[in-house]
Amino acid sequence: MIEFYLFILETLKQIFHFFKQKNISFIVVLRQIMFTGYEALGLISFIALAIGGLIILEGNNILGSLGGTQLIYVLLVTVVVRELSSILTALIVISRSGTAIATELGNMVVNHEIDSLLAIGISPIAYLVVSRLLGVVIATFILTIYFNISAIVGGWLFSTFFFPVNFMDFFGEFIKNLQPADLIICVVKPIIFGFAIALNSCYQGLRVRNASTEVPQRTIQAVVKSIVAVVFFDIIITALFYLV
Amino acid sequence: MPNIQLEKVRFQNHEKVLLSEINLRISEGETLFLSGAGESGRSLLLKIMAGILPPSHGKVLYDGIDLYEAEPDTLKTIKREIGFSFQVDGLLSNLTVEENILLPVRFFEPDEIEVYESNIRDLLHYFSLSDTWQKRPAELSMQKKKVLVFIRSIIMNPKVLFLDDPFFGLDRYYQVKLLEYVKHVNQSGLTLVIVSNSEDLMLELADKILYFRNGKIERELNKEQITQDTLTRMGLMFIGA
Repeated sequence: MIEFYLFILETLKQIFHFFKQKNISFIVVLRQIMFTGYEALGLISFIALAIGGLIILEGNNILGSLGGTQLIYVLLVTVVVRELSSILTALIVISRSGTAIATELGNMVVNHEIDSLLAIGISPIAYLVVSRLLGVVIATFILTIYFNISAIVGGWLFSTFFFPVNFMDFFGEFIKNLQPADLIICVVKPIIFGFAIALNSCYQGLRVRNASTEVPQRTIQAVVKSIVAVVFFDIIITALFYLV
Repeated sequence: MPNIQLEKVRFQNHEKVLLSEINLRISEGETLFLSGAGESGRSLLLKIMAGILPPSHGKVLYDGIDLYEAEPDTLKTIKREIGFSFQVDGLLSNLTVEENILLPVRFFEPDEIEVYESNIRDLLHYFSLSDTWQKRPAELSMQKKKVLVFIRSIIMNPKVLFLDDPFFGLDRYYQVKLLEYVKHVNQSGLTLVIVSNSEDLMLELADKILYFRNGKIERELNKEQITQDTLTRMGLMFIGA
């Protein structure tokens, strides 16, 4: 555990070196954003549209019978914006990018590619870890925002089955129910989750020592520890916002 | 050009001592060979000297500056003058050959890429590797990858070049080409540290040979002592045994 904290400290320290070697590292950030963000858009769209729709379906069923159809917007804000968008996006990022990062770095260790960077004088932490960290944080943040927008569209599409409403009216009602705290949560969570996923995945990947058989073991550890970290921080952040 | 000095360098893995109390001074322009049986500590020492692997104890000094205690900017200046070629592997698998070879250029001289690019093309042509430029390492044979790592190690015109078993895995064609090229760059006063048991290479290049056994320097040969007979005798003592 101490080793992991030292790794986090070293990574944060190396953020300054990242900018010193941005000529070579910037492209790694872009590639990470491309892989974690852009290539996950299809999956995020599908899940977000479905989740938005399902909430409207279930919500309309329960709240309609209680005469509180307007509460559907509150439900959409509370469930999607506050909770599901960030946590589902994080789980998708873990399953796609967390595993890929741990596997890639593990294989790089086995193939002595880290030594290769050290031989040139490039800091592996600044080049490999900080680049991935920034890429994953930026991509997770953008994907979470995209998840929210897609879920609202999904909610509106499904709601047209029950009550005809144009998108702008639906969106206007949704915005009316949005509190500043919801927006802050929506920004804070993906950033923290991005950090947790990238740091756990990079750390586990770089913990591979000699054999390629260690790579899948470390990848599993990366997934497990990232999920635990994301759920832990989700509880903490949500609790803080409800308590404060 | 830097003088390299090793002071009481020791390396241990858990309880096992792999290198013990190595004291060494390498002068500018010297060609030093590290010889001995496998796992005698030669390659390990080469990595320690090149700033890849910190020793468990002791110092590696470049003109009096401790390589492992140097400030990042100082370290970058020192590393700019060092080239390292690995025994196997060494290319980044997710980059193309072009990206791999240009990596040190992008790191040290980002504004001079075009200048270096023409040098790289000449070198690729010399080694008959021009067709590899846009390929990924996985598409190449081991010996081609090894030669490409060599090209990357010399592209910044280093003042100190570390070669880990440069002939290992290379066929005769590449061995001859590599030897010719190393002889050529050696004339410019390059400091060379080579891990090798190749008598051909030693006879052609060596100023000094250190023979390793169990992580210790057991024997040292100076330029005057380097003859075919001595090398054969030493080979039998330290490598064949």
